[in-house]
Amino acid sequence: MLALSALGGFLLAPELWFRGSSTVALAHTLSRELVQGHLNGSHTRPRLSADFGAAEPGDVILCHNPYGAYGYWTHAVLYVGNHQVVDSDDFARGTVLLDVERYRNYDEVMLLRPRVGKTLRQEAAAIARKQVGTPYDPLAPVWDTHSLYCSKLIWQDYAKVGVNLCPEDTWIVPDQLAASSKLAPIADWKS
Amino acid sequence: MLTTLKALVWSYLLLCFASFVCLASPALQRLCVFGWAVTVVWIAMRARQRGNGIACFIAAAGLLELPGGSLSLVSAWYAASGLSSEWPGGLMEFWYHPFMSLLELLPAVTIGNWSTAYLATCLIPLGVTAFCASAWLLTRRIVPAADRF
Repeated sequence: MLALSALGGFLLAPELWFRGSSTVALAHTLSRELVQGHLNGSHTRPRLSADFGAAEPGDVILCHNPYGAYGYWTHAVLYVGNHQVVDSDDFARGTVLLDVERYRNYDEVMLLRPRVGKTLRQEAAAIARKQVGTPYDPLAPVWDTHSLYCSKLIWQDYAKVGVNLCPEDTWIVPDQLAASSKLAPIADWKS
Repeated sequence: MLTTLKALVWSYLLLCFASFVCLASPALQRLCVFGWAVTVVWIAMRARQRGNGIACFIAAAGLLELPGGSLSLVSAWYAASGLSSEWPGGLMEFWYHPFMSLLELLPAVTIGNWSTAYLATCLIPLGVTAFCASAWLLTRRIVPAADRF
């Protein structure tokens, strides 16, 4: 039975794994970085003087710190208003609601706004709030709705309101959001 | 016991491999876990035929869970202490990833700031050992060998 399941996986794997060439590139980057002990990057710098006053519900905050395993931007959160973000980054705590000020503890932080109406952005933020408590699993594909990770949360929430922030891949990383033409940079803070 | 332990270890490693091959399909991953459960029952049956007792089988299951149990303890200690390294939790998640497709079906809530999926993952060592004991008892009817401890 186990062997049959593995065989099924092998047969389906090319379709699922190679759906986007970025999946192969991601696997290559991850394997190269993980053996060097790089995962979510290291926090070595003091806090940025970022001002999140301009953020609106539905805005995307991208964070960079060095030695990330999957691209330049190592984290992404969705601003939901009241100085809070929805963050899916912690296996122990799952998807949580956190104060936006903690995201000054990165080497670079960028605030982006989806190029859609305010109503849609607020709807996406409301969906994100309801996802607090969802388990964190970076290995689950983007179409699985039972778990989240940082960039998947943002992509899924906007997909639910009919906005495709970037082409669907098996896994979506923050760099893909940064490269999206549907997200307009509002501010960029660097140390 | 060594033969049983080797069989259990190989079956789990094969499960991990199959689960990663099926990474993009949670449904296939769940099927892999079901296949592994059937395999464990088969290993229990073979252990019975060799004349092994239930204590021997449970001891092998306990040894199988030693790496995962250690990772669970370290990960919980890191998380409770507020330490920032993501490696203990990450390694635990990788080791128990075959079960994640099932654990994610739990209610998406937190219990005292802890994700239910995480708490359930920490209990997997106990759960797998208990399942192995159940598998042993299940084979009682299949293999009518004398029970001995």
